[in-house]
Amino acid sequence: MERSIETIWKKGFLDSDKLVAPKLNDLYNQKSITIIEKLKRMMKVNVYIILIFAFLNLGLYTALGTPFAGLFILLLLIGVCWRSIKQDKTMKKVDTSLNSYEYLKAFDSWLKLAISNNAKVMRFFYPLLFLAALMPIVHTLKDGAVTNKAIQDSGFQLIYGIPTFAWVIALMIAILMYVFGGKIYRWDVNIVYGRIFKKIEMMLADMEELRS
Amino acid sequence: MSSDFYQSSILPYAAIVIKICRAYTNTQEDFEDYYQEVCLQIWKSRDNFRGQSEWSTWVYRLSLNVCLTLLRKKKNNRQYFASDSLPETLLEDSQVFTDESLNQLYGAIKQLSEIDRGVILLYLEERSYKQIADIIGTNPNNIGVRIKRIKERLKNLLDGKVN
Repeated sequence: MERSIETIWKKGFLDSDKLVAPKLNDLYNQKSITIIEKLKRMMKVNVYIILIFAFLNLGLYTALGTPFAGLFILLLLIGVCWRSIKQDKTMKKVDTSLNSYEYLKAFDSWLKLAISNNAKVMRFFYPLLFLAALMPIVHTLKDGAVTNKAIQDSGFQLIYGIPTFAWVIALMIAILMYVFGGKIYRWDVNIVYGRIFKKIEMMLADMEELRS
Repeated sequence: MSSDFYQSSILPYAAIVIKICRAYTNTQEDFEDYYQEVCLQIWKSRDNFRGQSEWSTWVYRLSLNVCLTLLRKKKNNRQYFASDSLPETLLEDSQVFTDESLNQLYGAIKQLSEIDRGVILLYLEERSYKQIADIIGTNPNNIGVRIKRIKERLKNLLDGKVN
């Protein structure tokens, strides 16, 4: 006689040993691996993006008549990438044989130290990048017949064909960038990796609660 | 997660959680991952339970939601991998239960849409239409018709009329 699905269901589970709940262990094992792998992938992609941008920028700056500024920015960005690759090597030293909690904790400590060290370096990077980025504007103002004449006739004191006050403003912005470089970097990093950092923090908080 | 919480608030409902997780997974490995994730989410979301429904209803709803989320995540990830590159361990495990009819029924249930799977599991677990509607988040009036349709489809699948 044909059995209804209700009967199959009830009878099938009467003596089924498959309803024994699996043991709960390593709740976060896979998750911590996944999240760290994702962060590593993002960091790698970020390095490629910076490199591509640096070379495109060199082309653009050459076209704008300031190849040296473009080259300078290229070198600055290569420096950033080199630093990132170097840090990637130290990241690999984080002991993967640890349990998920300790691994995540070790990774989090490494990440915080890396960000703190980078923030110190970036205090120099941002002002230099800013000043180099101004060069095409300086070049255009100096070389443009109309703009050049306007500047010459303005009566302002000039340095390298540009009013001194403009240099002073640019320098003040660069100094501010130096002062707030660390904060700018943290803000910058947060835009790109903020969601993952938050996830790691949440996971660690959960794991700490689970352990307590 | 405290052992007390697991023993008192999850384990009594483990059977339905297991049945739900089985309906959304094809391998033992996935099943264990889904089960663990459901338990973890129940524990993490325990403070969100306001007592507006029964605890069991809330557990079922959460189990279904977690399974659906994991299934969608998995589908998205799969887009990046060719099926022929999947390791052996991910191959479908179709002989989970000792009862052959139950294996066939599970096979048929897995061919239903994600929501219909949840509906029929709750129906087979003798939840009322109102409870099912509450868990799925739909109108109780539609549940009866929907179940009738799902049962017909299951019958056809079991009779081999539908691929």
